[in-house]
Amino acid sequence: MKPISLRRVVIAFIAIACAVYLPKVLWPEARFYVEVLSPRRLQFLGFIAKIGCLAAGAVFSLRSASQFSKRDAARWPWMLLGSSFALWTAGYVILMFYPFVLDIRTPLPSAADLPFLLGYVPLFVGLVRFISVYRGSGLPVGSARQHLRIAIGSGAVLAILSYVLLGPIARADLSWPQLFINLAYPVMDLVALVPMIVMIRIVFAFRPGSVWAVWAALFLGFIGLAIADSVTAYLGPSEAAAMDPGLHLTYLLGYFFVACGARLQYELLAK
Amino acid sequence: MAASGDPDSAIDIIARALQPLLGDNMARAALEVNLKKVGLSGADLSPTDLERLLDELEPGLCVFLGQVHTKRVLDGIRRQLASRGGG
Repeated sequence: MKPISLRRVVIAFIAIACAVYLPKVLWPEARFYVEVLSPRRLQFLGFIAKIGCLAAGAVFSLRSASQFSKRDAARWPWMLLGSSFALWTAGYVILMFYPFVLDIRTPLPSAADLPFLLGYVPLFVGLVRFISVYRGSGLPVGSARQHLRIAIGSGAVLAILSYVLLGPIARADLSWPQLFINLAYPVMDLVALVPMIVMIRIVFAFRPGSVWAVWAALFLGFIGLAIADSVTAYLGPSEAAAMDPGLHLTYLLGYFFVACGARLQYELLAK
Repeated sequence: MAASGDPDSAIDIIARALQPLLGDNMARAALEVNLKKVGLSGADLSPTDLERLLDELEPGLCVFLGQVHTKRVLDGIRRQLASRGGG
């Protein structure tokens, strides 16, 4: 049987996700969204889709790592990226536990925040390691000074953006743990974008090759996550945040592109 | 590095094999950098020169493709070069 191309999967996934979530943004009270795809069912499907995407991202990253030999420098960063996605998958499984097993509203903070936050550690280490490994390839990927300038410049822009975006969240009337969790995710997403932007500069010269496609997909995914986490922080621990269809769509597409990036890397190594 | 104009030249064969992975520009830039490293110009390369060039390309490719896949890619290039009759 001929394997289905990733391009078709991407088109089909985006079409289905938009068809499910976008009409809900425009007509939230439509009969279809009350009787057939009720908020609870939609939330359940959203969890399954996000867990599926993140698990796929973890599996393909770890399988990519295993395709490298122990002497290959890129083995470890792929393993770290895979660990990060695996921890986030665990976070979503725990998050799902509250409404669908315990039948209670998810508290803030919850047990899911532990694997979610821990997941950023291998992510940061992995991304910094990727920069060092790709720079060591000897290929013309830009000078150290240029990469440093990009890191400082993007760091400064993202710091100003964080200050503007997260200021109102920091002043919100929330308890300290709630405030910490609300701020931690968007801050860490924005911090992760700095090495990501440097990586994009490094692989920019690889367009339109497979190496570029891997990182373009991962970058799109991380942009989606940064937007979704920032909006979640704005909405705060409310029912509106838990049910917002636009927010779920952004998360879902973010995780989906992350999974695509990992899959493309696996295809690059395994084909 | 400019294309040689001869689509069957050794450099074009190597560049074509690397393009799907590294992209057009990087494939040619990688060749240029590694030709310089081994002190070659790209014209009239002997089979020994080509082997030196491929050996020089290997560590850089390993970073992105790993040793196993890099070996597969380079073996494929060697076969193509051999079928056209050396350098």
